[in-house]
Amino acid sequence: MKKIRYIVILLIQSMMLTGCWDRNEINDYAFWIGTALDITEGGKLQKSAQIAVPADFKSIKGSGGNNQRANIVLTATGSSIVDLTQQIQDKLPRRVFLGHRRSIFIGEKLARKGLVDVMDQFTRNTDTRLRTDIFVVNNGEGKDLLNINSPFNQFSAIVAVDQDRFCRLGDTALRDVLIDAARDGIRPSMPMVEISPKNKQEKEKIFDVRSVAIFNKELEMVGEVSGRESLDLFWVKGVLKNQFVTEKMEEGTIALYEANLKKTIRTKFDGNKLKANVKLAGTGRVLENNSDIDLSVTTERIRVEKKLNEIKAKRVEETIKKLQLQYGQDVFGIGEEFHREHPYRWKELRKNWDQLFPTVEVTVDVKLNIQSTGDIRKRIIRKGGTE
Amino acid sequence: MKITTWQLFWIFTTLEISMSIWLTISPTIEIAQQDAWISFAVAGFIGLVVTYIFVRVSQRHSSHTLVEFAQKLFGKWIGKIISLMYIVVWYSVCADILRIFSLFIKQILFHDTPVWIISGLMMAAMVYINFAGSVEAIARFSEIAGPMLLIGIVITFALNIPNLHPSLLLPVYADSGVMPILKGSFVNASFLGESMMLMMLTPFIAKPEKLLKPLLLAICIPSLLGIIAAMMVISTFGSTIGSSMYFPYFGMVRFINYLNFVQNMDVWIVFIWIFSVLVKLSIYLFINSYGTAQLFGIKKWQRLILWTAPVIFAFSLIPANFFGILDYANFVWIKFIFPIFIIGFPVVFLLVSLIRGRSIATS
Repeated sequence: MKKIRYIVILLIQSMMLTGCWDRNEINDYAFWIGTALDITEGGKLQKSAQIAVPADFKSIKGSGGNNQRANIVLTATGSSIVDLTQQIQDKLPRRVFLGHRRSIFIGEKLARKGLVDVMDQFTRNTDTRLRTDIFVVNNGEGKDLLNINSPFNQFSAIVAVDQDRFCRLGDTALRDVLIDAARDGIRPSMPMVEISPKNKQEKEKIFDVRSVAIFNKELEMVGEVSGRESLDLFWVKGVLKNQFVTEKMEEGTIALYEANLKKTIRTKFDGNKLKANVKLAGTGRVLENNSDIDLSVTTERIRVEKKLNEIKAKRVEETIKKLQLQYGQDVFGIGEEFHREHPYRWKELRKNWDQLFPTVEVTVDVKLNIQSTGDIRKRIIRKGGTE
Repeated sequence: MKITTWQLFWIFTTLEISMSIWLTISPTIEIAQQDAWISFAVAGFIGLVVTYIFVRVSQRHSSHTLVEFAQKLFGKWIGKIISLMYIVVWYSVCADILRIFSLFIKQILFHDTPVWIISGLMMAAMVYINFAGSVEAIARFSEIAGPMLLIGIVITFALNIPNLHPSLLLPVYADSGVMPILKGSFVNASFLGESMMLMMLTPFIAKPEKLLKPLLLAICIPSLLGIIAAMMVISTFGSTIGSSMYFPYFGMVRFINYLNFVQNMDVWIVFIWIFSVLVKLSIYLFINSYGTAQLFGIKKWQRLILWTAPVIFAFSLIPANFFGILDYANFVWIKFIFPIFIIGFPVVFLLVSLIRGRSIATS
């Protein structure tokens, strides 16, 4: 019995000697940090990769390092994404490793043509992680973005994730797009990046994240909203956590920092009409008060709050109306709200939701709460100059 | 070679959890969509009922294994045929799980390693634990692996909370209905029904009269974790992505990114989870070896490990790819084994045992 046991152990050990198939030293890997997808003039798919070059890392070089970018951008043209990965592998002495990819940039041209053909790989390939941010590059190509060399981090793909804070989707963006794309009552939206340097320093170093691309059911980009409207969109969608609100009143402008943003949507059927009521709420503190109103006086504050809420509600209503009429895509998820509240009637609506959405009557109520007026009560320098 | 009832509790809890979070979530979501968690609750109830039957049957014949008491109840030949059928089922499920385990490990960790190496190493561990101390060693091992797995899973649940969109769980019931929920519940219920191996283990339990409570708890805890896991998967990925992923719980663990440094937890969870798969596979190896020995009247059952292990290993290499094994779960296990071996036969055992009375049970 003992002999058999030893023989078995010896056999198992000799099995190990044949080697490790999956052994890879860390310096045999090429870490793939960012991907850019574009479409060429000829209609072919073009993929660019931002690959880390570890020897250039500042932290490794110690004192200051050199001014190199610690990464290299490679581009390949072909038919499918995996085919392109092979081509990029052909350019590298190390094995590509996709597990650390942080963002995907999609050129606007490709986004408008449709993303259905490129999405499958992101979820299927076991080497990739679902935790990835995804952007559309406004009026540009994805690879331009990879070429940006930010002074804060050598990898523009990582900078983009950190900079995506205005909608706070961060690196769950790809997951959120996939969830939305799979549902009937909501259409996907993606943050957009834009390269528009305003001074010499910004050139090739800085990019903006300030618009949102709107997609239809077939994952084709149909339009974009930017600035305040994009924030309104994300607020109604329920992903925005905080924002600056600046509104103009008769007495002057007031700027608030609003946090704890919440939304609730109630839907109902009124005869043949579909109605939705959006309630937005948040608590805020005053950052700037360019009017002579003393907000520490309760009656005044309540009056201002009320006024602000009315103005804001009107603005949001306008944004929703614009999206309904201009693009007709339900990026807010109002359809999903119908689905939740009227699940049985939704079964009739879901098939032609794209036709129904523009006809939904949406009303908006805003309830912004001024909790603090900042460090001071009244303005120190009065507008009129005298008491 | 006796184990306590609470050691048995840990064996069953460990193996049921490892299966529930691994293989049942995705097929259940596919059938019941966002109501999959209700299916898991129903499955837990079905699991409790069938386990209650197993316990009652086993307690009536607490000094005998299935192979022995089947022969007592139905006579020598029918009894032998019934126990042979059970043993064939256990061989097949052991081979199936061994293969799918190896493919899973290959898919997420070792792309270039041949499958048989992974299953070979697992098999070596299974054979070792069976030679070293059979049920007792497995029970002690599961007392370590089980709590580790439980803690690991609870931690992943907690860390995943920031990723949740609870609204994805709504609307409840309206999109699926009674039939899909019930049909979805059979998936996990059939896996919980693996507690039928109890009928082979009662002679090794120190106080079989106290079996009921630990065993029902060993069904409750995995069902509860299954319900939470299903809810978490649905509200992390939605029902569409959740049902198209093969292993959505592990996908969810992979998705965790807490404070930017708690990442890639799947490696740790898979590491612990391998332990619990070892518990499951080695207890099957034990049952198969012991059952075969009793069936053919061989005294030294340990020798049969050297026959059972290679046979299971060989069978595990037969399916050509992933789908063959998943088809086994969907078509063979749920459609045939679940109604016949998990519900049908045990009920018959119980009835016959009750009718034929105390004389047989005690003799």
